[in-house]
Amino acid sequence: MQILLVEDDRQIAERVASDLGRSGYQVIDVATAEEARDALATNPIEAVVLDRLLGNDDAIAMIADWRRAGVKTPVLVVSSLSGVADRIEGLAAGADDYLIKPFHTEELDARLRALLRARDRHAQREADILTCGSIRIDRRHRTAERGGTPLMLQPREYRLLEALALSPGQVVPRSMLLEKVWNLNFDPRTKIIETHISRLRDKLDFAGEGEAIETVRGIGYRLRDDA
Amino acid sequence: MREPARRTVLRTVILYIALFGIASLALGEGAYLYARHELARRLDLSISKRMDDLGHAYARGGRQALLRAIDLYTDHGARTFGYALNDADGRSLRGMDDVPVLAPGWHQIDFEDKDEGAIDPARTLTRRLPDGSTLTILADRDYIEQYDAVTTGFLFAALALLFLVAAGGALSLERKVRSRVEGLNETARAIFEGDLEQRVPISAARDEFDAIACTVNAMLDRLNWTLNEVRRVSTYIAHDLRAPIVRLRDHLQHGSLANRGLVDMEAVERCEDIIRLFGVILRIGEIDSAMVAGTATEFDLSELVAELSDAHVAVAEDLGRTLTHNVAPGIRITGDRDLLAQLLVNLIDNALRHTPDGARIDVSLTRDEGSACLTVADDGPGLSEQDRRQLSSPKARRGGMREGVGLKLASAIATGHQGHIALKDNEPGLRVEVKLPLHLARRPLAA
Repeated sequence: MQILLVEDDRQIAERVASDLGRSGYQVIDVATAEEARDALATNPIEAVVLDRLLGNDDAIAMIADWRRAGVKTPVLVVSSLSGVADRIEGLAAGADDYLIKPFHTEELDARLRALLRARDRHAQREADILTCGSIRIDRRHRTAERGGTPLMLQPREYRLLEALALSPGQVVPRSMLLEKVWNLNFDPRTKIIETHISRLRDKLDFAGEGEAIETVRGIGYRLRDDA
Repeated sequence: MREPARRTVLRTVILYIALFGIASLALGEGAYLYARHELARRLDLSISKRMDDLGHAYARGGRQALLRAIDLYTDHGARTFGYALNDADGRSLRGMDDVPVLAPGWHQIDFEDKDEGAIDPARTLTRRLPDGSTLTILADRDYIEQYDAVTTGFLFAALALLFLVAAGGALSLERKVRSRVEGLNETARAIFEGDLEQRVPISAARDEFDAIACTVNAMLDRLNWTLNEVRRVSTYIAHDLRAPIVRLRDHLQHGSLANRGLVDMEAVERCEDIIRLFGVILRIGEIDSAMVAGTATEFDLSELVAELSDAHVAVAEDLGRTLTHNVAPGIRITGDRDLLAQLLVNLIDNALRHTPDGARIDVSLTRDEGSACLTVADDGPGLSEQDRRQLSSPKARRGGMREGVGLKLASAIATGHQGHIALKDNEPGLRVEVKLPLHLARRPLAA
């Protein structure tokens, strides 16, 4: 699966490229808007990771150009501009997601996965039933059970479990959980995630053996697919 | 800011009109009195002249000549004067018989005018003749009185006209000055509210006000340029400084092979703290009303506050605090949803951090005319008045940046929404009140 990385900071580019390579992507790594255009035209690119500040090139204008030209490839904008205005501007121009530097490779990984999944969702309807190990989630009725025992979940706890189960066995970064479950685009200093994970854990532990949710310190949480 | 300026101009104008009126009145009164005096003098002069003529007639031809002269004057010429000749016993010899016998010299008497049938004031001159008779000449003062009426009327009309012209001129001057000053004020207010693109309007007159306007505009251009430059540099600093911090963190995390696979999580977390703090500081500088206006949408603030408070009930419970909330439903606001969410979370975080075990925290949202009032109150130790004042300023840098940073960000967000934060004594505890207008006043130009 080919990913186009547009980043003018060589050091960051190399690190991201090698990390994405380890995650199984084939990375085409360019530094300017022009090279990006060429690469996009000649390769079957699945997704673009684009730096917001590209020397003399305006990344936002670039996305708008691509979108006007009919390019539908998902674009993930990476930026050190934490400003809400930049984020909104990027999304308005046609970017699909926005990631603020500094980020963990796992976070980029998870967001790319989500983008590709969203793209696939247009092709085929997502399943109503999610399973992850002994956990079974009925998305139509918004209920969940572990090993056949129904889980009495609060709405937020259900959405937390659902967000984790959409990437079974993989790390879901905190920022994605905050966006999906609480609609928050910033990391609060309050332990909002920790508290709800802990309640969800208690309920999962009560229903079955073994720790279902793992903490990946500093990054996020993983729902074990063997629990 | 606006009222005193208006009063100064108005006061000057009123004072000017009053002084002008007094001066005109004094001048008019002076002219009137002088003219009146002059008329009286001329009347006296012609009376004495007639008396002299009659005196000469007497000197030439005695009483007979005098009587002839009186008859002549009475029958011919204007009836300006009246004559009365009485013998030594007071009997009327000639002329008017209803005039009392007066002592020699000038007198002022009331006298019945037979032509007009009215009592008129008259001026008289009496002389005693050598044969013991007395001659009195009397002149009707009527025309001086008529002059009085005409002149007074004219004088008041002239004064009223002068006053109208002066008042009109002064008021139009006042209005002109005010409208120009108002233009300046309007611009200053817009800039105060964060719209740095506003400029003072310049008229075609190219007058003194336009000179000030040009200077102010040039100053604003310069200020704006400097601000943009600072913002640009901050962005580059963010770009350039974060990269090495990230590399350091990554090195700590990934480069741990050399360290026999041990990751110093403590160091990694310290790095992340620095990165986060840096982000918050950048954000405080970044938020202004122009930016908020650019990202604002209308949304249900009640829903946001209820949801976030709900999400923190469990968080507070785990920390041994009790969080309750009381949210009036259906309060819709125009603003940046993410920033307002951050504002509330920061206030809740602040309350959780600075209260002891068992504390109660109450979040409430009410509507207050055109504003939403968000309150986060706790019953913890609170803050001294000095600390409260210091922390509520969005840009104040004194004291621990670390400690106040959450509140300062909240304050910057409130200001960006044209609202404000007030820290109050909850007796006991701290009560943070955020007042946010439901609609942003006037959308500033794109920054």
